[in-house]
Amino acid sequence: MKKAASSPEPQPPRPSAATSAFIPWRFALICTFVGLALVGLIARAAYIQVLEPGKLIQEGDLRSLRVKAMPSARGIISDRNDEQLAVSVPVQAVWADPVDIYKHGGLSEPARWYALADVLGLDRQDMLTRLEENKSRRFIYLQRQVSPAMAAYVGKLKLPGIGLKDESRRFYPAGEVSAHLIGVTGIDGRGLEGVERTYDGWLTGEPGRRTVRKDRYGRVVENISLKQREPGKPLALSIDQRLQAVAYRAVKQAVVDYNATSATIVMVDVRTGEILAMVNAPSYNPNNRDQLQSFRMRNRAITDAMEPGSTIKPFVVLAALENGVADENTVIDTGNGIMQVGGSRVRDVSQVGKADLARILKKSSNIGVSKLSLAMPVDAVLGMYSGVGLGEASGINLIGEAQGLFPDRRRWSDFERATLAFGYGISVTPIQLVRAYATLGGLGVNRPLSILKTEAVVPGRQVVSAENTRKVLNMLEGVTHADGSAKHAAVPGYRVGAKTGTAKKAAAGGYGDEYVAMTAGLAPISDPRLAMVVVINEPQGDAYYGGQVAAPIFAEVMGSALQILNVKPDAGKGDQLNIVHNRGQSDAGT
Amino acid sequence: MSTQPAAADSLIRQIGRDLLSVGRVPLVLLVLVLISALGVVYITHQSRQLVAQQEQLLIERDDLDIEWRNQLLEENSLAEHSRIETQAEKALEMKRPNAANEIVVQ
Repeated sequence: MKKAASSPEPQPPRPSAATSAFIPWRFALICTFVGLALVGLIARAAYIQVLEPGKLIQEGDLRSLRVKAMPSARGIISDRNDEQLAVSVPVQAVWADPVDIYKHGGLSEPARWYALADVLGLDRQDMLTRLEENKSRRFIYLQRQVSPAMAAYVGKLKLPGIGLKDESRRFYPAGEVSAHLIGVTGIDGRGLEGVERTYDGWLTGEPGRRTVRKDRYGRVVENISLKQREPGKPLALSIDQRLQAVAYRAVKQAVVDYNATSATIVMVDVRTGEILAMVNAPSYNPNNRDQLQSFRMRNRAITDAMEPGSTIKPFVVLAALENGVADENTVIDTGNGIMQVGGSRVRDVSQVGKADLARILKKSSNIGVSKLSLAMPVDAVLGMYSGVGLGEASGINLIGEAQGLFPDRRRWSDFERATLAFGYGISVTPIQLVRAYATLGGLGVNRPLSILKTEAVVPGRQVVSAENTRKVLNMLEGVTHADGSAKHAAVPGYRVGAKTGTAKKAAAGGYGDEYVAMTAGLAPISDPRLAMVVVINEPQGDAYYGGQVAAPIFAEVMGSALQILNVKPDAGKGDQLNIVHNRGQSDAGT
Repeated sequence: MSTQPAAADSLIRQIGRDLLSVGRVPLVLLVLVLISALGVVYITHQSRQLVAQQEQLLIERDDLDIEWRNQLLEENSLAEHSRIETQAEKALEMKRPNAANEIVVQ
């Protein structure tokens, strides 16, 4: 419309008007400015893209690159039947940044802060004063090892300056039963005791890191770099948690019954040298840090050495057989139960009279073994002791293992040689004693013990002849018969060989009033499978002899263990045993 | 050119002819470049989606691992040896067989 109205008027002077409207210098100026702007833009783009790209790339990365830590869980410890004994579970730590808190209004909304204190199990006022006191700090832990559900609640409270940090917590489903053996980890996840400490490097993994690019919705769109995490390796122990539970219940009961300071049981598979059970009472709950006192935490089976007393006598008899100073028919006169050696006296608990080796063991005659010891060079006795593993490391390699006291000297008085034969003047740990009995059970083959499940049988060293060991095993069986000193250690249905021992505890300047009661033995004697040592430390009351205190526990635990492991009863003749021959599947089982 | 081209549309036709004769190779290359460019865009999109999906799966795996560990703990505390034994003796009135009533199956 407008165009139509105005068009007739400027029609005639058009060429002249056009020439006058075009001003060349203006056109050139505009072109110059447009060109300059273009050059400027290109220069800027080139500068950003080519000359100085670093800063912008960095700014971009700041907004999109994220480094994610990939925590790696500590390896699971399990027993020989794959029952888990220690499992790590990720948890969270709740931390606070007080500077940030006070920058965002401080503790102005008490209801939400109270909710935080309540869910963390902290005292409301204490938490607030702690934040107040640490006003200028940037990081304090409020609570560690918080469960994921609680952590999610804390996250939803949306408090300023409160954050969560990934952590890992170790749980021990077996609790106090296996606490000594497995040990504990500290709050930072390093092993402090037991297997956790010894195999810390094996169990600990390497955390991984990955760098990723995220888009604006928080989705990962690009993997930049990745350092693979190395998960902690699992560890299979040689112990059997069922036997462990049975043994622990027995020692716990024993500590209560005899009011003892402590009690220990160690059980070994004779054929492989694997430890099947190792328990001590008093124990502690590894899931609860309040009970971590040293008297509870000590693994007495490997740390506490005691004089072995009469439990060492079978080895003196074995040494005598090996050295030919006696055979199974030799009769030794033990007299009236008192023997003068040098300036001192060796006494028997009961008069034994004239006895062969079997009877000397059965009645546990101190005089009998003293005479055997005096009849051979002291090196023969000591050689036998060290040959079966007393005085040396047991091979289980756990932290804190003691090696007892093994006498190493040139000059021996006769009385010392006599006392050496009934277990004084030498001190051993329960684990060393059980290894000695396992050597006996292995017919003279000494194997290093193992706390880890072994794939193949560890080759042992034949230290004594199998023939003589068999003789001692048969004598040892007699000790658990009705007239033997270890009659309470007998297990019905099985041939069991055991030796009891009672040792006075050495105190400053001599021997004190406290005793250690022990029973060590093997079963079944026809083909020894299990070696076990029971130690009751400082039993109170009238009963303190190994045969009264430790032997019943030995019988109880050994009986259960043989049953659990499905060992065939070997006592009595075939007709006394209820044996059903399953002819349908003759290849099964046997 | 001997004959005078008719008009503007003949120029277009000429360009077209040139493209098909002398410019055949560049034309093919142009098409290929376009295809490859679109392909890059498509593949990048696909790979981003796969990366996001992988991330989801990784998170899921970690969650499952945590759940598995908690289940292990629960199973172990429920299957604790002495607990089973008390249950068997109290609730089910079971007994350990002694040597007398034990039968060996061979």
